[in-house]
Amino acid sequence: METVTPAHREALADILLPIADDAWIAGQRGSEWLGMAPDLEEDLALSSISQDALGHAQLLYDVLAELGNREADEQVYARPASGWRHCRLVQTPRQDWADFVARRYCYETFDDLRLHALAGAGHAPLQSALAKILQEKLYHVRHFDTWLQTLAWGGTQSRARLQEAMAGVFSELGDLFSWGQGASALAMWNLTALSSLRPLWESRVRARLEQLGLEWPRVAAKKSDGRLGEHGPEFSDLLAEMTSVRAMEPAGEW
Amino acid sequence: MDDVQRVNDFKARIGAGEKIESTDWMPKEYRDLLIKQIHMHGISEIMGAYPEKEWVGKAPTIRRKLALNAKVQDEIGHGQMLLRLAEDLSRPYGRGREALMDDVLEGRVKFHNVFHLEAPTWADAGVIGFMVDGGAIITQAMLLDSSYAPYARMLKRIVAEESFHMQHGESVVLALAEGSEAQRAMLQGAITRWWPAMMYFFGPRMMGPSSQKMMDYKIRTMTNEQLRQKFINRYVPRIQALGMAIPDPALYQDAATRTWHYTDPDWEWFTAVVHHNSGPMSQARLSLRREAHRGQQWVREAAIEAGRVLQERGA
Amino acid sequence: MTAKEGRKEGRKEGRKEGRKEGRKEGRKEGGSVMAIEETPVYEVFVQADALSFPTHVGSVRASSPEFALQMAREAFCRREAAHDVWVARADAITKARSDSATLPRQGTDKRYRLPGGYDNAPHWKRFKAMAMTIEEVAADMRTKPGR
Ligand SMILES: [Fe+2]
Ligand SMILES: [Fe+2]
Repeated sequence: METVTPAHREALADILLPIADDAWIAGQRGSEWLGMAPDLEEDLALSSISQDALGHAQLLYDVLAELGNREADEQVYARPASGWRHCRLVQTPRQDWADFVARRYCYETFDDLRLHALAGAGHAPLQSALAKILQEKLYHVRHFDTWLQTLAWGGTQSRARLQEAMAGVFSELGDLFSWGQGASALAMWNLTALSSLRPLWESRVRARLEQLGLEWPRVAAKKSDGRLGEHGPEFSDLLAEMTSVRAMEPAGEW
Repeated sequence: MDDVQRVNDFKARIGAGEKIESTDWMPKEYRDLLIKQIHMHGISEIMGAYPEKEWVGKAPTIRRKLALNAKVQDEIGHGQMLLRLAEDLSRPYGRGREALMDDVLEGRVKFHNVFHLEAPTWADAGVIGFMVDGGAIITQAMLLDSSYAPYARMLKRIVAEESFHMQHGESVVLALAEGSEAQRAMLQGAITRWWPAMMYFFGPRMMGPSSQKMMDYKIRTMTNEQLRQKFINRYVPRIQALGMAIPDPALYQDAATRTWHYTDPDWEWFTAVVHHNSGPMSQARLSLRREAHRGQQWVREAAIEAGRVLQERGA
Repeated sequence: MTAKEGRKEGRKEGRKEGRKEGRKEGRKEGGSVMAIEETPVYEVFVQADALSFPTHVGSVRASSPEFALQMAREAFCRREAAHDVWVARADAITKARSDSATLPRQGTDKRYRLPGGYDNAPHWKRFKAMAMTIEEVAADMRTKPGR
């Protein structure tokens, strides 16, 4: 993009915010697994992945700050719940391991496709952030794919738990594919490919589930759209907790 | 019973500064002391993740959140490395990870007094790094000379990471000390809470028989009181420099002997907490560990089964 | 998986450790003792850069070689990158220390096979020439030809 107009900058911010917020909330929820993973080794792996996710969000918040948003910490700590653009999939609190594996497999696979499609956007700061993110994303996708296979091949009980968890996760997929207000912005940046990621995601996940002998559950229609800032009281609680310490001295040094 | 001559030869090797490896022959007494020490150390690292974990979700800046997440991760990592050593030593008893983890859930292995306590404010998360990790470094630095080589090697790695923990804790503490009245009050509250626990941390003034034996075998090389004195000597001037009070009116340094005099912590209370898991947070943290370990035994079993399927398919 | 299956599987090659630990161990649940199979142990070797040898750094429990590599990366390479990481099943490793006949030890005088066992410099001096050292030869190879 040779000349970046204010409208262009705003449009790019609309495109990036849901991606950044997904990563942040995934990292925040992922951190709930600290000390709670099925074994010590996995605890280490998961913590790294959560740190990476928070780090990816930070990189994107920095790009957003450069596009005119407030600095990264302010975006995280001083934004009302309605200003967040993450999807339902990453917001659900920690449940059991089968749920987490199914959930994160779906999210990481989608995010990987989305980030690769973003590589077409001619914005240098974004491209340099993406280069760092994609390298780590590769490992995240691999990690949850390995777990998907592990639970699928882990015996009757394990497979049943995974299948059930997958059905639960699919019922929360609705707004993962939504672009909310960012839909019109995609055209401005020649990124319309981003609005048609769903069939790509479906064919990739369907093939993998088939390969592992798992059923393809029904994807429920979205009940609310996180991309439009609709997150329900569960997120207000999360946000209140997340910002509780800083609220003591919002402008202070920590 | 081990052959007396063989035991004496072993002691002579240790006396001459030789290091022992996991597959070497060793007296049962030495093996059992090592298991006791390393098992307790490893489990304490793991239980030490919980008080700070509560604050990862609430950390007040992005950088603090990342650092605290990484710090808690390191503690789990220390637990992993140390349990692996304890597991290797426990092979002759047919006990592995599952059994050693069950031990803490069933009260057969204790963990450090500090991890039974509440960490009710963000300042506690900083003070834990500053004082508990600082105390742990003092203990672990002594163990770097341990006669058991795998332990000494692992501790080299652990101590390097602990120094990041201490820096991180100090940074949180300094930010609060430089902050508002409310932030300083929160810091003072945490220091007041943790000081007596740190006096207990290094153990009784007179060491028990097994600690004495660990000295004989050069598993450890200093007394409890020597370690505590090193801690006080380091921390008193720093805490005072921040303008914070130490909750011990009897604390003073003898000008001639350089020895610190301090008020005894409530030995009986802390000992009961450690032995009966009766501290304010003991049961809550044990139930988190139980949820992680027992609650997800099915995952470990599934993974073993899947590993077998994978091997059979030659994948 | 049931305890019975666990024992049955335990007979297979490569499950030695699981069987050994699993049999003696047991968690009492509802009065009966259940065998708990242990996740296998892999020793981990990290090669820091292309010109160093892989070095043993510790071990992890993992249910497959793939997981062992993922876990090794997390357990031992959280802070610095590596050139390569090797994992090997712990029960596939044989150590010399457990068999003293094979353990290399300092024996009779081996100075004849060490560079320090020679003292050629005074002799070269007598011929008005300089002794060579391997360091100096190596340094010479790094300079451009003809210099
Ligand atoms: Fe530690
Ligand atoms: Fe630490």
